Amino acid sequence: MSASRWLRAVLALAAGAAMVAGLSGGLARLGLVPLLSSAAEHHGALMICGFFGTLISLERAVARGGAAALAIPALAACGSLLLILGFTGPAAAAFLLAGLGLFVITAEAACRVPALFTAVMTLGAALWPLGTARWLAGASVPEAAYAWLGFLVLTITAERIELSRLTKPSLVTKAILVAIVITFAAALVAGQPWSGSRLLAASLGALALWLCCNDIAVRTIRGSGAARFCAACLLLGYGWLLVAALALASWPPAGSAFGHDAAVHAIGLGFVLSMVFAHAPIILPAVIGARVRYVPALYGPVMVLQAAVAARVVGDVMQSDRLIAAGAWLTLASLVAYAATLAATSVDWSCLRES
Amino acid sequence: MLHAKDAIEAEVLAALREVDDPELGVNIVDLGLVISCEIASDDVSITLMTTPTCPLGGLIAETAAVAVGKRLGPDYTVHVRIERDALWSPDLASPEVRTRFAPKPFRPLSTVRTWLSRLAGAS
Repeated sequence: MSASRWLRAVLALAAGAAMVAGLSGGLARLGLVPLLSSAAEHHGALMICGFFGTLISLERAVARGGAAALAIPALAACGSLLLILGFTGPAAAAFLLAGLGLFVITAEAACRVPALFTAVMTLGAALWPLGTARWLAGASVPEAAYAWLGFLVLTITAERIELSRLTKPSLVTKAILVAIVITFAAALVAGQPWSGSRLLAASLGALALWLCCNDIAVRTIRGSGAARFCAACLLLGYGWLLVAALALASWPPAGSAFGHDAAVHAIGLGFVLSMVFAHAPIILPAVIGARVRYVPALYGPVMVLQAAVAARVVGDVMQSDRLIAAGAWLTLASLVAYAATLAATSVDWSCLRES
Repeated sequence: MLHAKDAIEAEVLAALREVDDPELGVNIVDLGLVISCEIASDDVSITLMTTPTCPLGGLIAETAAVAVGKRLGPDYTVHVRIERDALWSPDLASPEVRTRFAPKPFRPLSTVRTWLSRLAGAS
């Protein structure tokens, strides 16, 4: 294995460690496990900047090529470590540098290939440092979280547009998307959903509907194997984006802690984690050389994840702590089952049959 | 000599047709990702395209090199290069792939008529 591939594997593990710390922090916030570190206070930062931020910047660094770009996910990984150790300021600074680095290499890619998807990806990359700068300036994690979630939503949207070029969307269809994306980003820059949430909710809902209608997943869902699995996860994810938009419109976070909880988990778990489940069997071999592959058994953990998000959102709407706790445990179960199933695909079982 | 070159190129393309874009389930030849294939005696140089934001390029190149090497045998050296700045367009895909992924016209009246006829058939 080359040094670069080793470093990528270490960074992927660091992202996984941030996720474990973030999840344990989330469980501690609900009073389900003892509080061990500052992870509970920074659950959102660890999950979005530490886990998703490291993974996305690792993916982009691999796509760009060259060892220097790996400094970006390395900075995000350092941010996670500093946060776990309780150094909030330096951690935020590391995440800010990682976000700026990701923005620079994405903008560079957009200059090399000027296209709608690279423009949307660059706009998404700009939202990560925006949220982090607000956090550094004294905003709380929930206040910074929507810009961070906007970064994830627009990054995934851009990746979907890239793939969906095969469907030849019309100029009008593209113009509608541009209007939605600009409205969505403008609402986040203006501080929504903390200062009114209608524009953000409407643009998020419109984005989910646009993706439902124009994503190539609408066609690949009729296929088979990995292509169908990805499409199923994505279409489920779009459903959760719609739920998040409804939650933001119905229970604006400024006046409802439960509305905030429902919206961020519908986006973070329902949309983003479904997308991670969809792509891990494809991306992990490319990024770290892991010999994992799609198997139909992966539908199981995906279904558990959907049940987990449903329990969380319904628990928020009904203000039921028991349902929210059930959602948290189910999320953990889906992640463990997914990781175990995926890891099992890398094992050569034929030697066991022979013995 | 020309015929031999054509035959090798056909073999190379057949091998590359075994390499799929994992998410679309469509091979890289029919997707139009093969820019060129140059054959000079026992040396085969293939250039594929991807975007500067796609992390799968390296893996697809490795898989393509293995597939072509296996097909041609040990007498040939295979090089696969990835061009990340090429602008892909759907017109580069094969007509079959374009037809498969082309947007379906939305005809609400005919859809309602189909539903009604199914309902009538069911009753």
